[in-house]
Amino acid sequence: MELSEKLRILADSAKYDVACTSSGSSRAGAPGALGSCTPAGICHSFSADGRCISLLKVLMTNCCVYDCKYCVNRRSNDLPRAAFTPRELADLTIQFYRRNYIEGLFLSSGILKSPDYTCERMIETLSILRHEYQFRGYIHSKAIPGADSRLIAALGALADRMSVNIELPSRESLALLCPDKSKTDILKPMAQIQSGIRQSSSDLVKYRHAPQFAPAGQSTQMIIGATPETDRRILTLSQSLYRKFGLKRVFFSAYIPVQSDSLLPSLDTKPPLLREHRLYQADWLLRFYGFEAEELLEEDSPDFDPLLDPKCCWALRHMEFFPIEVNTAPYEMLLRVPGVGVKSALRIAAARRAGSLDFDALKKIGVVLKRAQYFLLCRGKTVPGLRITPAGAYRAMISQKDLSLLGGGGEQLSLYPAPALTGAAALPWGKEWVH
Amino acid sequence: MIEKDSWAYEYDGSLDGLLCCVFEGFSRRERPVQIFSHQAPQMTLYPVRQIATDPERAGRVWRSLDQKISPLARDWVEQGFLCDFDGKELLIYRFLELGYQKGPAVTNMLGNPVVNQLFSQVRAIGNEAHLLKGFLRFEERSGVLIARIEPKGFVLPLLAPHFSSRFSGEAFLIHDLAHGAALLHRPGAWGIVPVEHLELAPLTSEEKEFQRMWKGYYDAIAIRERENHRCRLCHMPRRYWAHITEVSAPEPEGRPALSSRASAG
Repeated sequence: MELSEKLRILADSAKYDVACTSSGSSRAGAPGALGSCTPAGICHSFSADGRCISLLKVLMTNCCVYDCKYCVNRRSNDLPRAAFTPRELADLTIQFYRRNYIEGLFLSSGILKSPDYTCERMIETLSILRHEYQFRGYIHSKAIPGADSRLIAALGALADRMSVNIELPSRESLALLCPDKSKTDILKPMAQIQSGIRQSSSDLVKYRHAPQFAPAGQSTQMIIGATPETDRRILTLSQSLYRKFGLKRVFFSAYIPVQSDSLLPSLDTKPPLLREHRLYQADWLLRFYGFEAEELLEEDSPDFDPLLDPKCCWALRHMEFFPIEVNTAPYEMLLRVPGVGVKSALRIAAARRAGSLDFDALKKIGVVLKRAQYFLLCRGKTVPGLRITPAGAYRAMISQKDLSLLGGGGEQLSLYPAPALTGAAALPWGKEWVH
Repeated sequence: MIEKDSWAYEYDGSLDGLLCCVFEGFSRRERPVQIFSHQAPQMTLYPVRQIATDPERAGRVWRSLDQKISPLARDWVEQGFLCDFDGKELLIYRFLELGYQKGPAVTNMLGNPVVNQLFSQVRAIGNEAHLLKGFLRFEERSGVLIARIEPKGFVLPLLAPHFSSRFSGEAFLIHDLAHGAALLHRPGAWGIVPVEHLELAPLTSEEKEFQRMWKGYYDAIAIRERENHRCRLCHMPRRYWAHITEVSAPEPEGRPALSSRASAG
């Protein structure tokens, strides 16, 4: 088979893996070697679905001995199969990298023969890159569940980031849809990678040249919408993954029907993109804004409001904390204001040291006043002429972009009163808030 | 500062020249109301003072940025000067007036219109350089990697450290068509030189094959059910496309057109 055909098949089979990040490693170039890593990562292109292309994301092979129902590469699916040789893939990566097409390699694989055999072929590819070509670019490698722990350790020594996909958000769903994998199969390598990372970072404190193990950490992903878990369950699961396994990222992937099965949503189901979007927004709030999963979704309303982002939703439910004074409020509170992000909160904190801020200055700094004005005071005053009513605030929070995602097929939604307001019932509709 | 009378300053278009304008303005205790380079002369109603570039004076001002304001402010001046917008010289001048008064705090005064405008410009050129670190594409032509870009702002000095560290063993050339300059690199050395026009050797069939494979990969990796052109345009604006291999129009000499893009994947 021609190389370009192999590449097409194996990229096509890898495209449902979400992660394409190249962040977390910092490695300058070296004379005589090729490549470097920047901590923030670099996006090299964006595909027609708007997702970033940073790494050459391919499978070693899409042949697989497993038959997971949601997976396009399952054994029972009739599709063209191909496999790279380690040499082919390493050479291709180098040639793409030299032309600045990519930031590095994302290597995953279907299970050919056995997990151990598959893992060995991946290790061979990465060793050619790292040792023969002295490649210093980014490598993201999947850990193959069920492979020998020594092989996982060898992968971790070559890769920047490792990941094990948790696949589905609960043990029951996993048992139902992937009969060949168990929760322990997945969590075992995850725990091993975590201890490898810990070991290597504590060694690095003692010896500068201690071998590194997955310096950019580990990530995972799960499929959203194939099984009946609530948003609250998914979010608390990711929170505990961050805490227990020290993950860098948890990715969500809206389920795209790839086959019809009585256990799966029907083939004409649209991927739940808005739901995925809300989960990512909440994920950011967990990682950078100091929120807890239990704050964002309470037990009586376990799913996100389709019309409001999780932060606005939280703020509207907790008007008792607001308004806050921009010039004196602690940084942690600024972060909780809708329309204020991490960057603008940091800028506010820096700028108010040099002089007190008014709304004009906030706007220049990058605060989205359309949303933030309901929650902020500058020098004790609200925006001049602003009438604050719960309905007005609610309307101002709704993003037109999200609305179009919800509408899908170009259907016009009436703005207000909005349908299916899961979170809105809890809002203090009756009384007017006047600051 | 007391304004004596209003002057327009004309300098040689270099950063050293602008620093000499600062020297001149401060030592004469006057406030220029217009500063322009004699590469882009402007009509003016004010009397024009020609500012000669003196490396020694420029050096004194340059060192004072670090000592009297802050290293961050020095970076802002350096990067602000690389931007393309009209009136950057006067903006930098006003920023320095404020900086010498306020010291290191000046870079925090984001509510101030002068500081804010310089800050946004510096951020914009930083973003442009960051995007081009990803969007720039090399083509191998007779053993040299060649890239063409049309950036907003003179980003080559910002790209140079990144690419020469990453591709330290390669010979490469990045041609900035918008500013008529090129970054040249060979193992161990790099420099930026003026280049108006570049005669390019034709692409080899091997190079075309890599481009074809990359385009094939690009089309295969998109998920059709999630297609979202607006999102793609947000992240990768159209103005970069002409020089991005996978989305630019194929070269006239008949690379097979990928008409199946919409249905691929």
